[in-house]
Amino acid sequence: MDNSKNTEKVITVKNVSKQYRLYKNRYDRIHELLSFGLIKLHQKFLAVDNVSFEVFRGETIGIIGQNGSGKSTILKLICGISPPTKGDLRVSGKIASLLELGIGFSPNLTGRENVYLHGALMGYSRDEIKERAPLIEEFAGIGDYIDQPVKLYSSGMFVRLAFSCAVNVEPDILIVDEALAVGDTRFQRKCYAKFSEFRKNNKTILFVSHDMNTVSQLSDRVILLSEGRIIEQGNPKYVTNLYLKEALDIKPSARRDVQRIDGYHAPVVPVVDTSKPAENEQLKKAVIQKLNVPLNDLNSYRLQYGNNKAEIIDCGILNNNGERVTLLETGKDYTFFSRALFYEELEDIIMGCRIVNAKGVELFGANTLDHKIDIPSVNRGEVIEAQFHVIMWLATGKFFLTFGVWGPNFSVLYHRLADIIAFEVTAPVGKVPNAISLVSLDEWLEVKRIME
Amino acid sequence: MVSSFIKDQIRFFTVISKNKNILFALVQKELKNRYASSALGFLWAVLQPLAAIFIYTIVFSLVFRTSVPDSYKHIPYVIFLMCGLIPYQVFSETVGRSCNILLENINMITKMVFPYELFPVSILIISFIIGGITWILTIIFMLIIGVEPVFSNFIYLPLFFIPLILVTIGLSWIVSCLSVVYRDIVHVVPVALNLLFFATPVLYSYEMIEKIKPEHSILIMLAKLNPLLAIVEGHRISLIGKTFILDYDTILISYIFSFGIFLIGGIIFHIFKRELADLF
Repeated sequence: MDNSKNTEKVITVKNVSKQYRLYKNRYDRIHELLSFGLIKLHQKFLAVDNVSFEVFRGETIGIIGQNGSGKSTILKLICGISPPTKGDLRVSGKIASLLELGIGFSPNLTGRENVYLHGALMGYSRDEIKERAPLIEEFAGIGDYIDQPVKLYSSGMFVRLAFSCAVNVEPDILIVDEALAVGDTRFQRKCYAKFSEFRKNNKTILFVSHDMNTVSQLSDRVILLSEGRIIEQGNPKYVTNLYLKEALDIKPSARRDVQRIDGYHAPVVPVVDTSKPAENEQLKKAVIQKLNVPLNDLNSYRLQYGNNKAEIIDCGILNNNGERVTLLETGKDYTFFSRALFYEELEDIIMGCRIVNAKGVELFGANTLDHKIDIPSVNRGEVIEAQFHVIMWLATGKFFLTFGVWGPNFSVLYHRLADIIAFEVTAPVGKVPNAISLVSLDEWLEVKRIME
Repeated sequence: MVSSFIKDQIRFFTVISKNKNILFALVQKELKNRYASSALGFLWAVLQPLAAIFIYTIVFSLVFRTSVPDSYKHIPYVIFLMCGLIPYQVFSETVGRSCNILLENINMITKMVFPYELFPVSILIISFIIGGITWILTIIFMLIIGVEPVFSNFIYLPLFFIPLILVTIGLSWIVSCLSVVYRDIVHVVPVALNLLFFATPVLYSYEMIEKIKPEHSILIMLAKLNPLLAIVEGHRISLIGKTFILDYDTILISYIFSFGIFLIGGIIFHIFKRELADLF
């Protein structure tokens, strides 16, 4: 990443809090107002709690967190729609907000009239809108419907026009709330292309999404929120993985143990509460010794989570000769394996693995349930090994392997080691690696001269 | 504190000129929403006040046999009524519509940033357009039935438009943002407008207020404090008045009250504006 473009701050959020007053009913609000502060009937609700962060020009920031974690509130504060209760918030540049698509659209106006209305509300002059109107119409791709009242549109057309209006007005900062998942696949592709065009033009983007793939692919930096606070910000892959862990209901109190890391790339620091009951620890030690497990530093691995009922004590990639490898070759056979130690009597175990690339795109996944391999019951102290035999048809690149153990129908996660194995795939000797491909299709080419 | 509010109020006029575009778009939106789906469309804008005039004329001039007051002796009741009704309708249409306008546009206010204070202004513009058309029809009607408007009095018109604009916008701001918190306002406003209609010399004239029996002096005083009094009567004088029956105190009161309401409305709206998105 070019560092020179990251020096100008466009958004500065400093110790910002947003408190809402919640009333049981609307009369409480009146009573409180009429009592001139003598009666307090509201409850305070901190939607955003002392949040600080900075956004530099040209950055794409993903904001993630569970429902009610304050993501949308923060976007609203930045847009200036509602004022912060406390703290300092500075934004420089023109904001286009897509908090919701088609806001301000009036059903009785035609598509074209709505384009002008929307443009005006965004603060553009008539000439500026006139200049962009053809672009907007073309991007929306709704043809002659542009001159029909919007109320006659299908929901797809409506959303396309709305999105087109929002992104084709050349803002400095684009704020998007869950709005990307719209339209058909072709339109989505257009949206992503627009996104990258924005990034290329050094515009700043802030967006909220629940789709971790999108987040880790698109953003330069990710901010993870929970209960109105920033838990972590930094490297997209790392933070999205942390979120997946948090989605497993780690208690809010545990958050205080999480070390805050400032800066761009967060280093991997062990934060997980890996303390287990002492007898489990003893059992594990004995098993590891018996099985002669070489890697026993898994305890300090950060991206692991689970409920201590089972644990993956060993995993890796084996080649044909049974050796552990991390440098793989396209087209060869390998075995991914994981060994799970069970601390309790459990039923219907599922073991699985998946591969993601550096951008977080899931490329492969397999589990025992889908392959109809039953592990009906296990006892305490039992170790089960799952082997995934694969032919490596991934093209060249760096990939990450995740292993997991679940309960019946994925209802419980016992243990998961996210991205535990990093491996690299190279082209077979003598073949030129293709930088574009994600996968190899075992292709062979033929060229014929069919006309002299 | 107060001076900063006054400054904000003065700044309001620059807000209007800066955001002509938004204002135009809001006017267009409101017009379409009101009339687009009806067969007669914009015609209703004029048909409604004409129907009101028709009803009032029948009731008051044929049933009640209300006679035109002395200073307008030469004028048919219909014309007398029309001239008074136009400015009152501009006022009451705007205020009546304004109490819903923010509630109806909740999604815009909670999701977008722009000067929300323009909402009531856009309504006022529409009311003025409709009022203007009715006004022209009135003049044409007068010429047809042979009542000559007093053209030389037309120069007074701006004198009464200023307080009309100020009091209408001020009151519209107040009802529009208060109704967000207290939805009861939506029900109170029509009642209050009805009361005000009879408290304002639309069906009668200014000189008839002065003829109220002295023992009801409170009534006279209250009627004279009504800023609409000078506006309505002044508008009538500007069109058909042979004598200038308003005294300057009444006009002054109208100006003071209008400006006061405009100022208070601006202050209230200003306070609410920041919190508006959170109040819904």
